[in-house]
Amino acid sequence: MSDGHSCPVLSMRVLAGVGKSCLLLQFTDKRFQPVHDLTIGVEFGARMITIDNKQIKLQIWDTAGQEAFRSITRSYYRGAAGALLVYDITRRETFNHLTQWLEDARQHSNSNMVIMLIGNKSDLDSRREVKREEGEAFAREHGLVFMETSAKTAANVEEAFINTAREIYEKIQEGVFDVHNEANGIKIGPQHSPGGAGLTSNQGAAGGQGGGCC
Amino acid sequence: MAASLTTATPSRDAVRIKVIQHSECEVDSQCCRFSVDPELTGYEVLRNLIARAFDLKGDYQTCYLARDDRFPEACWVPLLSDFDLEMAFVKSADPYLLVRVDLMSSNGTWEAVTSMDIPKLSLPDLPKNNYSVKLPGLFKEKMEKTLSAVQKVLSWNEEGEDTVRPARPPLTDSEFQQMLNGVGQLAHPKELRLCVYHGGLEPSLRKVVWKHLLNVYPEGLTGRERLDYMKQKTKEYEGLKAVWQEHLQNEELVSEEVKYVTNMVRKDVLRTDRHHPYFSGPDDNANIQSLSNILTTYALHHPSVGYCQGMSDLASPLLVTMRDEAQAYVCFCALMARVHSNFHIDGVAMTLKFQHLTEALIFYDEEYYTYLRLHQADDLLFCYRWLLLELKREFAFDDALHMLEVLWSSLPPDPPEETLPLLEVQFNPVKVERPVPPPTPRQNHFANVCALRRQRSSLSNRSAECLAAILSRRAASMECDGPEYTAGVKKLSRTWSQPIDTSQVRARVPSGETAMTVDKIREESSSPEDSPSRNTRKIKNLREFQLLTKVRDSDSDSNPGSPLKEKTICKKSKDTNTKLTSHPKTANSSRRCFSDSDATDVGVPVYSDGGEVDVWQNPVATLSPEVDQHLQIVCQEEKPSNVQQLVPKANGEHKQAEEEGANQNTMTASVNSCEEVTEVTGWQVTMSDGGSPHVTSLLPPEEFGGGNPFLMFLCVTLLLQHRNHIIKNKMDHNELAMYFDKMVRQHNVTKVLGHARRMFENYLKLDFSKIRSKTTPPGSSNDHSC
Repeated sequence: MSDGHSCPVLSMRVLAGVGKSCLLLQFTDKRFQPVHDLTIGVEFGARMITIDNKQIKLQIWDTAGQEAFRSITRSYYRGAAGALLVYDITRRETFNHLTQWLEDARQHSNSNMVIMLIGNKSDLDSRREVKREEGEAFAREHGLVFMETSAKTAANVEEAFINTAREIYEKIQEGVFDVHNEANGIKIGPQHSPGGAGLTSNQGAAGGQGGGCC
Repeated sequence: MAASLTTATPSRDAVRIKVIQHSECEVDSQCCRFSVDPELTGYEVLRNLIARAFDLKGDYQTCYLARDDRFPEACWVPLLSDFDLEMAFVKSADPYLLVRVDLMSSNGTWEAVTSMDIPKLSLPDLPKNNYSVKLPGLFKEKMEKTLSAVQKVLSWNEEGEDTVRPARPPLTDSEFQQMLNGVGQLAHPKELRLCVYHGGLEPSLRKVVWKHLLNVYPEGLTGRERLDYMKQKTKEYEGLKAVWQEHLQNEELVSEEVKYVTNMVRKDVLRTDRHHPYFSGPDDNANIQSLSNILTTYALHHPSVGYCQGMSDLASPLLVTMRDEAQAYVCFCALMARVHSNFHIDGVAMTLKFQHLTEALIFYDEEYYTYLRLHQADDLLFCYRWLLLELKREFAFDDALHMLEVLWSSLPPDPPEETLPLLEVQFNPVKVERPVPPPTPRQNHFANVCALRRQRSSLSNRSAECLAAILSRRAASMECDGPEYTAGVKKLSRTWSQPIDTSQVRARVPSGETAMTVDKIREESSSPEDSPSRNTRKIKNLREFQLLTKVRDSDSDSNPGSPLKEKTICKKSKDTNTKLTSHPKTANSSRRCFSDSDATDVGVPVYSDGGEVDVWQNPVATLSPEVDQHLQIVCQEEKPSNVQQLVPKANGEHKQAEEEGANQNTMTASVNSCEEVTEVTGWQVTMSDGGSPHVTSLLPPEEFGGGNPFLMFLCVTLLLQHRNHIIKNKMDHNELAMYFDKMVRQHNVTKVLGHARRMFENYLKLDFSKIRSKTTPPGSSNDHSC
């Protein structure tokens, strides 16, 4: 709730696919739940973070993992400032679908959307099917930031979300995002303090394939 | 995160809470820790959490350890309200908020089982449910007293809680036996439902009675016949299962479809109710495999439905209750016969439910709706799970069993004619050459519903007008729907009081079929290619449906330019279920075939081929026989006048329809995906000639909520219960959705059912015939109080 406090707010939307609910839960609640409910529809998460002494609220949208969810994903891209593109390092097929997801994300978002590539389940190194180098190469080729995370051990989870938020924030400061256009996923929050206009940014993160969460 | 914790500002996003429990009669105290979002957690929510964490069965008080810089000595301060809790969060939450729970009761009956312990009790047949209905009932009654004080302050319920009627105690075995006659036939099906509706069932009775409530048995079976029937069904199921299981073992022949379905199902059953002892433990738990078998068998033998996420949630309570895979499958088929349309890819049935829920909310609490509209939450998308799973996940598992049986009992009995079909079409994996449409990516009904509803919300200032337009047209349409309305009212008002003649029951359609009622339906003429019993009807008014069906219109209609062209609706009646002759075409052309590797056909709807079963069933056609009988048997005196009314008003209606049709020419002619649905916005402008979003009437029970009116009242109750908290905290769409997400499995079943029952009963008292004649504006302020 945005009442009362003069905290600039940035919201982030995540549409994830692979271990997405776990990733989100790790970020928002700092816990790992090996058995997570099957997501029906969209679930939501939010967390306040601090960037440059500014309180920013990330709003995260986590869609159901049902395959070929693209049509709904698209409508969320449109309202998102950022996206996490997530695949499962233990399942090559989820990596193979990245191109498609990326194209979709690029096509249906505004051109400034920040996209980060995440290879999740880095704790399961013994079952790894996708090499780290492959992820890096894909990210380099498409101009994405890359990171391997583990929702289970929390490795890099914080960094993944916060780095994405930071990049969005920088873009806002550079004036790349029009904060008055909500289609960019950024919404001016309640203005309670002079000069401290709240910034709400919707960052979408699109997941790769594969509903199997963890 | 760390920063916000150390500064202890109110804007932190999580507060750690440690709860310790003291009891007068127990020496040892317990403690548990958890984190909450201070912005989302009110006093009531916290109490709920605590009650669940400690499985409290009695009244209790809470206090917290107050820490203040000025007073170094910490002291216990009562925690009695939202205000107290807010202060506690602000002042005393560093490093964690320490809450003490003092049990009030001296009987010491509370169970010291925390929720964390439950999964460890992995004995599948543990008779753990024996106390679970009675004691929580007692506890909740007590708790309600406590909560009523809070609620009076919040005043979401103007009547106050003291008017809560004590629910009937759960139906016992001996009571049930009295409803059977000498040979074990169920002699009093309506009384059975009435009792269960008011009080639920003793858990031990569920295995037997659920099959009656779910309409598994044809009418009139004796006890012996029921046993034989289930034996027969079990055998049938084993056969159906064997088909795909043998097929799966044949490495060379195994089709992509079987692989796909089994993989999808596998992923989902591993995430379904795993906290329940029945499904806990390792992933190779045999019960999980059973659940998977049920869903796979259903999906492969019901090609028009297939497998969709959410089905595992529906099947799980059935399996847990039946403790038998085959019997659970039979129950699942019976349940799906009513709700399968919710899973159809076009999202039509879900959209209809959303629309009715919106109308109900406007009807009962316009101010609340206006609030939601202002906060872009009027699409109510956060209720999606509620509607799809019929609230199964909104209550703790055992509470959900209770809620489900009450919900099923609110529906009139609807036994299968001769036998419950366990398949739509035989799955035949060997015939690989069958004409399969090019694989399309799996469209999601949620996607469609979302696109449609978001579209409204995004133009929220228009959506009210658009809704008003819909409603005003509905008012007009009611004039021509006279007999059905009458019949509906009579039917429902008599559901509990008067045994219906067997012939009527046989003529009755499954309630799931009547679920597909539209706002405006008008008989036009008989379609030449349809059987005589099927009619061609035009369906207007429901914009979403129009948009969606336009696709098929443009495929099949020779006159695609007119948005008002005749729409042929296939009446999907029982014979389509029982006579397989009608299926091959359906099955082949609409069998969903998905492929992960397919990446090109993005957004192509699966319903574009003409052979698919139309989920939009014709309620007039399906109701007609019954309508007639009712008119003759039940309300003969009303029949003539209504029929006379019907004719002229139908004509007037026709004119209006054409005018509307002219307006709709601005609409895009075809909608190929929800992507495009989202972009078709022209129609909203054409509809903006309405007034304020005031709903003066609700649909009659056989239409409302797609034939499940009580579900609407349960949902409205959930919405209303949190109304003041939501408004007070100025929650926006996201926050609302998160708030309700976090309430998963935490709603108070007794309270919700009690309130919903009251609303439902008052709703049934509404005089729908008056609404129909439009002589007086109904649903005025005296109805407003639920």
